[in-house]
Amino acid sequence: MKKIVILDYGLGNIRSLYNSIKIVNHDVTYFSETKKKHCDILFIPGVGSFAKASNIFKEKGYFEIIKKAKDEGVIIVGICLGMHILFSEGFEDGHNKGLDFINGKVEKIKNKILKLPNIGWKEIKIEKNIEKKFFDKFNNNKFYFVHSYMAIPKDSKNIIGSFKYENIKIPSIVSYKNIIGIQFHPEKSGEIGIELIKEVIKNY
Amino acid sequence: MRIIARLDIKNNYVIKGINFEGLRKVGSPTDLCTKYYKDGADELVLFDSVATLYSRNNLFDIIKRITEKVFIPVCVGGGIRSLDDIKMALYSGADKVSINTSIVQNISFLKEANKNFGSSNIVVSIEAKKNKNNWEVYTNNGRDKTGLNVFDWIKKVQDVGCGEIILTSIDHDGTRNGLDLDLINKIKKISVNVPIIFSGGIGTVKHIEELKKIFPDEALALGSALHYNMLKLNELKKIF
Repeated sequence: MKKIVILDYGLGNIRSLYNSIKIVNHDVTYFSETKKKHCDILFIPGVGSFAKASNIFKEKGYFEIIKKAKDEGVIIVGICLGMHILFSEGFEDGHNKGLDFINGKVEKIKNKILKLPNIGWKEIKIEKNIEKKFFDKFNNNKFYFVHSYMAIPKDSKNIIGSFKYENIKIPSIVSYKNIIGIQFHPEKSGEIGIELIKEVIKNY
Repeated sequence: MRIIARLDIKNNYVIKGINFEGLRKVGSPTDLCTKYYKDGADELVLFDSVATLYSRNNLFDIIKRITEKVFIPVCVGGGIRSLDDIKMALYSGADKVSINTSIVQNISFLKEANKNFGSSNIVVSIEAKKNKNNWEVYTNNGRDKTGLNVFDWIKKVQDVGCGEIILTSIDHDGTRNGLDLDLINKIKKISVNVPIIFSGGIGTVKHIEELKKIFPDEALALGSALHYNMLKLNELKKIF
């Protein structure tokens, strides 16, 4: 059984993520500066702002800890703000540095038609010719989104799935080597969300 | 449209009244939340209807139990008055908090909440009551007048910042006679740039269609129509 930890850095609802991993029968515990643990997969949850997350990471030494884990081959899964922090830099509440695991930036969704925050169940499209074929079955499924900022990878090959609305394309699942970022909340997207969590844990 | 199941809770029971009065027990929060989740609700909103009155929120334990098996967004409201309350709510498994009274008393609490938890997770709850040709904001679950005009208040809270607004018509709540369309039409005329959840009065599919004509993409909350089996979520999800 893979050992899974969730980074507890004081932002947002982490219990639901815990419950959703638990329900797919995995050993899951929390991880914090005082409770460091070895693991196979590290989930970075989070709601709040990029600036706040970046500051906490700096203050508590998580940048170094997570970079080291990544170099040792730990699978890193970032959800929502946890996905954003995987990127090089963010522009929410000023300019701040991220983990830089995926080259790119996080900025406010620019549009005139979509109300912000972008809230609700949105259908995602999985890209063709992706390496991890298991993602295909999530094509055209709806997941729960809540965000005003989006992460844009420099290399579009990092995009696995997106939510498209009019002329907006919001990267919704991104991946690079052992790094996965998910913009929506699989832990809040009912049965299909739980299925995604299960498949990610199984296939990475 | 987002269809949200709304559960008003008092002393561990889901209760429902008419115009916020004459409350009757309708079931257990865990049973009803699980049922509405299985039936396809997009989200759940839980209000502790006596929290402000008694200066406490009793829902955190309920939220903990519910979110062990319910994997859709859960918003909790009633008696949220400090950053610690918000933290407790989120740690219990809620995704968002809904705040009314303590923001009316002190708007800077909204700023603080946004700064600490991100505005996406902060829902401003507005209880509106018609007074001649205008609508007034009420607090404390429809108990106290504030003197604030609903439209001014909507502009104010969206300027300060919030993720959503849940707007309940006290006059229509629990009646199942339809939404307050006069109020909703007036809201259409002011520019609201955050998502709104309309609550209070829905009893039939026609009532939802009436809202959809005015606001095709907004959200609605259903309480008594679900509790009394007048509407079924799985059927509504096929239509809307």
